[in-house]
Amino acid sequence: MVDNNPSRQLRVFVVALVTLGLSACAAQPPSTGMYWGNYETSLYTLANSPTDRVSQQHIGNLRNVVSVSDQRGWAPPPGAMLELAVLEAEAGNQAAYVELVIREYRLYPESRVYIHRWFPDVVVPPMPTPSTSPEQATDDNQAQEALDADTNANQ
Amino acid sequence: MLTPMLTNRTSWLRTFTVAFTVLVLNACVSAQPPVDQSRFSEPYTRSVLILPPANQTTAAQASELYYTSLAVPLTRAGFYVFPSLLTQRIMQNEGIIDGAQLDNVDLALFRQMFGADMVLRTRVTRWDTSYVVITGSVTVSVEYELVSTHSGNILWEYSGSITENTGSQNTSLLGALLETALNTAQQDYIPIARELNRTAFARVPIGPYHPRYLTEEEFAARLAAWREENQR
Repeated sequence: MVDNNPSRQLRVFVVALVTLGLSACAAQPPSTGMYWGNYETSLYTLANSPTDRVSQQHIGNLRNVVSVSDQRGWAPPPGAMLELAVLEAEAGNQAAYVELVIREYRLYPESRVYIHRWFPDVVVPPMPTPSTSPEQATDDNQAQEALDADTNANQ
Repeated sequence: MLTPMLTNRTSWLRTFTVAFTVLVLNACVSAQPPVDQSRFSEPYTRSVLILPPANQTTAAQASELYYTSLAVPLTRAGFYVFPSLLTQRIMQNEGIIDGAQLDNVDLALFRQMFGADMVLRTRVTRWDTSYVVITGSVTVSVEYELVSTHSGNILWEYSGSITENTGSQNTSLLGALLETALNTAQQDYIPIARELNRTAFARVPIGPYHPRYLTEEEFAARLAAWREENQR
């Protein structure tokens, strides 16, 4: 019963390995991915020993987080664009500031109250054509309003 | 001619059997246990505002440094997390340095001012080194709470502690003394804090940006059930 033919054994091994790899891929949940790069490290360093050099590193890391996410077709992680927006404004890059705030507003409906309150100088223009995100946002806002109404009624 | 063909067929059958067995076993191994998304007792839990940690240790910087380790793992758990640096600046401008200053604040305020569904409260209870001759250790202990800004209810809580041994394996007493002192002095708290956070947030029900979150239909059903329950 023992197959001593080395080429057959190799074939069995290769097929098993490929099957293992493919089934591992199939078993993974669909992931859109999230890229934070070295964000945590520079945020910590900024808190621990803030210097101009560290501040520049942090803004560089945040720019990298956004650009790598874009290259991979992933959404930049929550909050990253707002944080970068403020640092861009401090560096004098007003256009980048406005663009980043608007992107966060449209991408993450949860950010809207925060942006209205803490970024009152940014006026978000209406979307020219309805797309997935704003529709989703509208749905989310309606769900939020409905829930708030429920919560208030129960309090 | 017939014998080689049969042998060949047997060989392929065996190959197929091995592959199939591996497939089945692998499916068993890689299937992750389903996350119990119903563990949050309330339905709307999309966004989290991380409050400054309450520092109950003697390490003056513990709160500020620990704060930097919280946002990333929470976003990976699927939540919208308000930006750390900006939130910290806003709090500091309001004179809030330590989370304990917010203990008596009406949580609805965080929903009105930030749009947060939940706040993350943390209390750092240990952030210290223990050093006795040739034995040394560094300990980080934290208590966590996710609290709804809609109801004020605690939706999730966890308490954890990690101790990292910094003692020496050196066989000479003098060497061990010096090595332990050096290891303990150089030990960084943040990697320990990050490990603690990973352990803690692995126990949080996942948020809406997680790939395995509820579908729209499932969420709608859950919301309807919650409304019905709360109207009784």
